[in-house]
Amino acid sequence: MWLAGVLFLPLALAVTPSIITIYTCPIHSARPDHSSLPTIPTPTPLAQITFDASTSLASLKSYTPPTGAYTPSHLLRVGLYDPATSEWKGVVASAASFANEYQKKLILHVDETGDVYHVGLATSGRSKTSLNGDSKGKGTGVKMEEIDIEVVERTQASQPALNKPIVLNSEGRLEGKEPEKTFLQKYWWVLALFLLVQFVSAGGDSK
Amino acid sequence: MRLHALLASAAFLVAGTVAIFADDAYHIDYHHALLGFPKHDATFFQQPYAGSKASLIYTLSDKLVVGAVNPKDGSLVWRQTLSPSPNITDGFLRAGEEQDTVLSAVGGEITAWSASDGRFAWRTAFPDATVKDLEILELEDAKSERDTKDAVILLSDGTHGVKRLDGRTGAVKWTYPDNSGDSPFQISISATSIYYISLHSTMLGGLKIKVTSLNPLTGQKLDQYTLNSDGEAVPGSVLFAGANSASPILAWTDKSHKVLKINIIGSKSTSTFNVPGAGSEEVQKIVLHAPHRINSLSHFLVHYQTANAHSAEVFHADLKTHAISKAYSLPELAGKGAFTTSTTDANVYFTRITSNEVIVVSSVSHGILGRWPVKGVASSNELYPIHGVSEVVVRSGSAHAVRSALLLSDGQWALIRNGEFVWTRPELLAGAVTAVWAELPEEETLAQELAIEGHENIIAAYIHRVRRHIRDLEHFPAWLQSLPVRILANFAGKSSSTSATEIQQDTFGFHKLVIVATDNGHLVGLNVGNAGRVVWNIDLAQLAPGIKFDNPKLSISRGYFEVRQKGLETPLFINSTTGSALTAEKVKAESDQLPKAQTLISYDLVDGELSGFLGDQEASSPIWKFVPPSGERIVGVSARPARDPVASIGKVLGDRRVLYKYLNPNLVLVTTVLDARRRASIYLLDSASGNLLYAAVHNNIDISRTIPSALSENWLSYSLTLDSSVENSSRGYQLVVAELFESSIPNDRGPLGAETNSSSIQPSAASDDAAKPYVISQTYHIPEEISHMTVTQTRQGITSRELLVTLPESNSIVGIPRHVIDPRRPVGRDPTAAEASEGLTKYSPVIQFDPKWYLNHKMELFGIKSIITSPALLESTSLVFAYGLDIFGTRVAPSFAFDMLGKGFNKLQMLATVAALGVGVLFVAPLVRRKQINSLWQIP
Repeated sequence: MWLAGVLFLPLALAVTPSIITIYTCPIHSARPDHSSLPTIPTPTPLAQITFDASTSLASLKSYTPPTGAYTPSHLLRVGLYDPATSEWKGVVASAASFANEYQKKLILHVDETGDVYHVGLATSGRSKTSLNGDSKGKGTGVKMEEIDIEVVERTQASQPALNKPIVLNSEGRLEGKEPEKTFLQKYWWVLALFLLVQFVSAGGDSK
Repeated sequence: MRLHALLASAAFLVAGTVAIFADDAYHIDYHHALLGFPKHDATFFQQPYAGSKASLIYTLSDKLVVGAVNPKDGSLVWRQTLSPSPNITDGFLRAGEEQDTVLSAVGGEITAWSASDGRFAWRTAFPDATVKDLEILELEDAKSERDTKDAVILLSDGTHGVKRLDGRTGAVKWTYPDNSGDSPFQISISATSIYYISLHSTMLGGLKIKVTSLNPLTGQKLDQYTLNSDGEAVPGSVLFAGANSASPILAWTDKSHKVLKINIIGSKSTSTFNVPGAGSEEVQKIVLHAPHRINSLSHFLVHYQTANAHSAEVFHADLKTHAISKAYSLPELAGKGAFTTSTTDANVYFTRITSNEVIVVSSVSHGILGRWPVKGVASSNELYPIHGVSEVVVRSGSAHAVRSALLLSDGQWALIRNGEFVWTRPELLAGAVTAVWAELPEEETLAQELAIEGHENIIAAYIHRVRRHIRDLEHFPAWLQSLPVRILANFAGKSSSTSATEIQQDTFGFHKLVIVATDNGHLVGLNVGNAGRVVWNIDLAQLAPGIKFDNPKLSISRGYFEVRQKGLETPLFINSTTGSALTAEKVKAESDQLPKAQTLISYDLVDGELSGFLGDQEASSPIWKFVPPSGERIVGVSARPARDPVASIGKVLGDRRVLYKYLNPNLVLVTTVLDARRRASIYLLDSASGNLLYAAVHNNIDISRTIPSALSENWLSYSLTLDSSVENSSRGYQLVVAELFESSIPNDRGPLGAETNSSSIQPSAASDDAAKPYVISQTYHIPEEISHMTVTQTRQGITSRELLVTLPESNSIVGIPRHVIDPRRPVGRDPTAAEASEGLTKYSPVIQFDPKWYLNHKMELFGIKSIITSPALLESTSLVFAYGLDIFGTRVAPSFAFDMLGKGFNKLQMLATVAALGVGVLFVAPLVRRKQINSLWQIP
């Protein structure tokens, strides 16, 4: 696992902190009941994030909340967009997630080479602790007023917990096993006790 | 909930060892050991060893399975699968007379099998070539040396040439190489020489037939000549080349099937015959039937098939004068028919089988030796034989008996003896591509009524229920009448058995239908309550002509199901109990009664990307999309079953605290591989929002092997093959199990708390990220590769689950109990008392498949592609159905059949005990009463 990290280290070092742009794009529902919906869904930048793959640190550069009504029925795509190939990938979230009472969190899913391959959006209730800037989460997050960022790396899957192999030394014996104690080493206390009893009893006789 | 938890834990504690009881085997399970469609030229009757009185039917199927079938009852004697490479479909099967081996040739491999038990004898492989023909050398000198006859093979693709193989060892005796570049066609063996026939393509696109004769002993070229067939023979028009001296003929036609040209191999002259009735109706197919016996008469039959009728002509070949003469012709009959050839001594008999008649004629004259009407088939004119083989018994000039093994047009392989069906084998099921469970109609209507009651207000629902009960009263007299019969049947120890055609409801819900779609475009309804018998069988090509149903999608609704296929504009609707087609309007009227879901989000794998769509998949653009990291390709997607009831929302720990399960109905597990790095990854997605919940990477994986995965309740499992070329700490196959919880802390419900509703799209006001599960996973080594896995389903989900895995190497299905693969097993230490009371055992890195877990006990399940499970009405039991080459079905009770009496329960004895006790009470009661009274009145 750390080996994989070492393998990708040179690659990761070569990458300068890159800027990742997260886009949003509205979804036309079957019943367009919102006049605020734009007619052509073009992805608009939501946030720009500086991401350093070597340290897995991400910080928010700019954030533009999406326009339109923050109603639950209005759905938004949130994701990565490549303007050159118009390739898009990401998740869907209700526009209500961007309302002020929720603490937003953008989740960047990063693979071993430091590429962001998927994003996620999570919301939580705005509590006092989160306003004070006490960010939770296991990833390295950078706290901003509007939006949190969490970097999630892929976990190495669990390996079978194998039993330890028995290692023999050149003599065919178990390594690290202490040599057998001699009889004297083992039972010196019996001898000492016997001697003590002898002495004590002898002393008693002399009285 | 607590009761459920209690029940669940009770069920769990019972789950000790689960096995199939000896008296349940072959009663609760059924197995169709199938071969596939038998190939016409590779199917024959043959004695398994010299001097045997009975013969077996040997065949090589289109699925490349060699098998022997007992003609008496259609049972399989033995079979072997041959699958050298996936794109080879052609094969040969030959057996020499009075030999105890059969030879198969597929791809570049020639294998000899013991004819009586199918044991492997020898194998010779030519890896860079394909065997184009295989013949047994029936020579006098070859026979006199030893009793094993040699084989002659013709190779093409790569190295062309003829080789003679030793019949005992398979060693090459001689080789005749052919470097001319002609395409090899066939070999034919006469008493003096081996004829090698190749096709030489000319500049104009025609073919010239080149015949080379070889010395059978040395393989040297004796002679070579080219037949003047230019302009007539085109690729695919050469009909037949006789394999031996009984039929040393070469026949070909022109493009429009107007003339038939026949040449006797060894001579250069060709005889030309006009195809009869060529003016009236176009002949679609010409088939030549000739005897295979070397010492039989050189008579052969030519079968002409038009669109609506068929006829035949019999020809005699004179080997001395090299002349071919037409002997007689058989009259034209309507419909389609099949002809078979059979020999006794030197006599040749032709059997003509049509939809309603079996006729036997001798090759010498046109007089009918025997005629039998075909009985036992429900007079369906659509059913006709495609091809077959026959055995004829002729005594004193008339055919005494005839039996024919026929491939029928509905995909069944049947044996007809004297016009009566003796057995049928549903060989079309060998090509099962997909299958679904269907409920029986009664159950469905009740469920529908209950759904209506559930959606109305209390008073209306009550009135509805009372009305329903009054309506149900009309069945009461009939029920009362059937009661004595049922009670008697119960005491006789027989479960209410149904006839082959009837499907009826049983109290336990074991009677269900499985609808199987096959690769030749048929849909078959199987009754799993009645040993998997075929209830109905329809050809989809008749409902939607011109569309190839190679990968149809079936979806079940109430009483009917939909068939979708690429290229089909509107789905087909078919009644699930009868197999009849329904119109879309009728289906729409029925489906309007169903409550509408609010918003449907569907997902599909499109161009290697998993995309979610709003509503139906025809919607324009995806609303979410998951693309794995660069270079990775998605190899599998699995989701939770549509109906996956969970009895308990938590897992009760030994100290009475609860770990709450992460229960998301929209989980999707995506498995991907990165070819360049030998890496496999799994991604757990929420299919409603597209959010990634969990991702894990495995390095050093053999990515060429399948990665099966299954998802159920709050746990997932998948299996991997480790790469053997890399230095790993261990090698072999791994089974990974991961369990999802709401929180890592017991008694903590995570950020969502006890909220009943949550959405993965709408924002949540919970204090922390609610969507994330807490994942515990463990990896085990398993002794064998798994090709497919699924999870049992029960009605309420109270019974503990079992992971059903298919083991392709041992041809078995194993049910691994859930507690064995619990990812909370303590690693490296013995379980504490609390853990032990939960049923957790110490982790061991290897799971050995307990012999008791094998569901198939003595049966060998070949080529299982997939397993589907369905709940029965009994909570304890889950129905299992496996398909692929074989069909296998059983029922499993992962926590024992706690709600059903076993077979060993003696109802009579119980009744007798109750009666005896009753009688005893009658006698003892006055005594006791008297004693009590006496004790009251006596002075102490």
